Amino acid sequence: MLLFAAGKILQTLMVLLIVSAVSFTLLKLAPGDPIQIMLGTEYSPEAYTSLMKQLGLDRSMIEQYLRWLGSFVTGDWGVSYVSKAPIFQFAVVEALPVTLTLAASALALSVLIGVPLGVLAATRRGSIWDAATSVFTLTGTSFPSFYLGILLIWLFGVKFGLFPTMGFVAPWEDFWAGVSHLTLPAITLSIYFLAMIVRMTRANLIEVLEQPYIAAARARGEPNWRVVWVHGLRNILMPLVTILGLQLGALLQGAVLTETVFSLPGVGQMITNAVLNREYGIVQAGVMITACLFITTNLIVDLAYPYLDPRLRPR
Amino acid sequence: MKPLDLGTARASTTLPAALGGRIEPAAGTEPLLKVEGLSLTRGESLILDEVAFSLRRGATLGLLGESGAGKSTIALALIGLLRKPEVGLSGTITLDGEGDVVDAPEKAWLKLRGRRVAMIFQDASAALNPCFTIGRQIMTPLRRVLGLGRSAARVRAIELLESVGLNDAPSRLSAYPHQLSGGMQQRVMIAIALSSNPDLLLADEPTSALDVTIQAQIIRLILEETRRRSASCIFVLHDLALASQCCDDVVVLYGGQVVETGPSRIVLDAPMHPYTQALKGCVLEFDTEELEPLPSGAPSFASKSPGCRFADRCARALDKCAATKPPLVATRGRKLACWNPLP
Repeated sequence: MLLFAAGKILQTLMVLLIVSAVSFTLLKLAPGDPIQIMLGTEYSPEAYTSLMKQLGLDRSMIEQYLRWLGSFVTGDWGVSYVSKAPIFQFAVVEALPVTLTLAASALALSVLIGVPLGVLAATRRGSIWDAATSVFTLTGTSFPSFYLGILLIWLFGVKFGLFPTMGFVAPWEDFWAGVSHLTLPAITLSIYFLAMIVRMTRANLIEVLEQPYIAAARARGEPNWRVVWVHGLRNILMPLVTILGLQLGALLQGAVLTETVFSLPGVGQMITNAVLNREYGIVQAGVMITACLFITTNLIVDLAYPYLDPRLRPR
Repeated sequence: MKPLDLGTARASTTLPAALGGRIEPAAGTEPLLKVEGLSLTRGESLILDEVAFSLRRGATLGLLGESGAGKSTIALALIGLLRKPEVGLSGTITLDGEGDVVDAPEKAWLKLRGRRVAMIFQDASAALNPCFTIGRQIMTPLRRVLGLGRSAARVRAIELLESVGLNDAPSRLSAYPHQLSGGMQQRVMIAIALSSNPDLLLADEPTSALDVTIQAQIIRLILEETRRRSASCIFVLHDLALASQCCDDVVVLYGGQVVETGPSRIVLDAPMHPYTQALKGCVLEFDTEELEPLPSGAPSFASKSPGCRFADRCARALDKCAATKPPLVATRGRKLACWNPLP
């Protein structure tokens, strides 16, 4: 088990290294010169070269990458060309918690609502509930989340004035203000996920409920709720967790749009602004944070498999 | 016919008293189970057509027939798992002391399933939940049904596992189903089914997923354990050789109709229905070279033909066979539904 975990972690680190190299190269190849942006429209060639030297942009790509990697690992992520603030501070300390809070609330919302809805649809197949959930899932997966965000802002923010429509308040500082600021963005971000969880839960549960061990559990006199919620649900955890891990990319991608619509100062908004300003360092930091989140989640999913399915436990 | 070695637990008439014997029902007592006019329609098809049989307390009954004859369907109906959404179930299933349970609500069935009626499934590897330990699966019914505490349930579970011949029982409790062999899995299923001392045990082809060498052991175990508890047992089988050795009575089904039923010695030794005879001809015998195959074509439910279902495959069919359903009448020690029986 320990060996299995160690292997997985090593694998994860390799993937991160490759991601960092690829994203570094791609950003170097991207059009736009940060020095031009920093110096404005009028500058002398001497100022250009001295700034280039100062930023280390005159060295070879490999040297630049290794220097960047070295300082990245030690937490020295450089400073923003525009605001002169240290990147680590506003990327990890300020932006990341916002995105994590948003993603976690959206995830919690989709699981807490999605799983029961899926169970309902699966156990009452062909009923009005099933039809309603299938209409909902179809709408949910095909409705663009940013548009839903705008609709929610208009309806609940502007028309009814129930929730604030922009900005972020940390729930650990002011719980109720935090929750009310998060409500609309979390709903917006969760819709796609929610619909997917409902669909996955329904499909997998229908399959599991036809297995002989379900009939055997019923034959032992287990009441219906135990058959569905204990025997059934336990066996769909594995596909459900797999999908959650794989779709985290979609969640982070959705977070970029949601943060923009609701003006949340998260990683998504940070990347958007950095791209517009050609701030390589920040974009790189954003990419690395996103990659880390995605890969760590998949690592957790991998490590969780043996717990979810005893048949996968190493002997 | 090569007899399987069923040791001391052979057919009940030869069962020695040393085994604890079976308690012969007192004359005149009500049968434990009485099935009358049991029919099941699904869409246009008639899956079961007026099935009727009864079972004495302590006796073993075999449901015989090809796949699709409705054997497993009857077993599922007997344990109340064929209700909603299969709405087309009619007839009566009378369980001693409970009355007719065909239309009993789920609440009533919850008090019967796993308590008075238990079931062993065909493929134990699929009938045990892969995500739960053996201990959890055997202790949950003990705690829920018998109301035992955690430690009492554990002690009882170990006793049960030992009684079905599982060695090293305490450590098996924490094992998962996939860590056991097929034979051991089926032993666990038997232990679970017997845990509440049911009056009626349904065994749906309990050995067809197992190695032939283990078959006899498992059948013997089921017979011994049910007889020790003076419980009745219904075997769903397609193996006539096995049926002749482990069942007191047999019900031969074809296309959802009972064609011949009675004591297994009478019915299987001298079949009168052409179908029973044909089934017997399909059994591989070691002293003959040739098998007698049945004419092709599995029983069809599509047409609700008014006559005998077997008519179009039957060599002895008369004109009226396809037109009128033969009634089940007592003939020479058995009940038979045939217009042109074998002499």
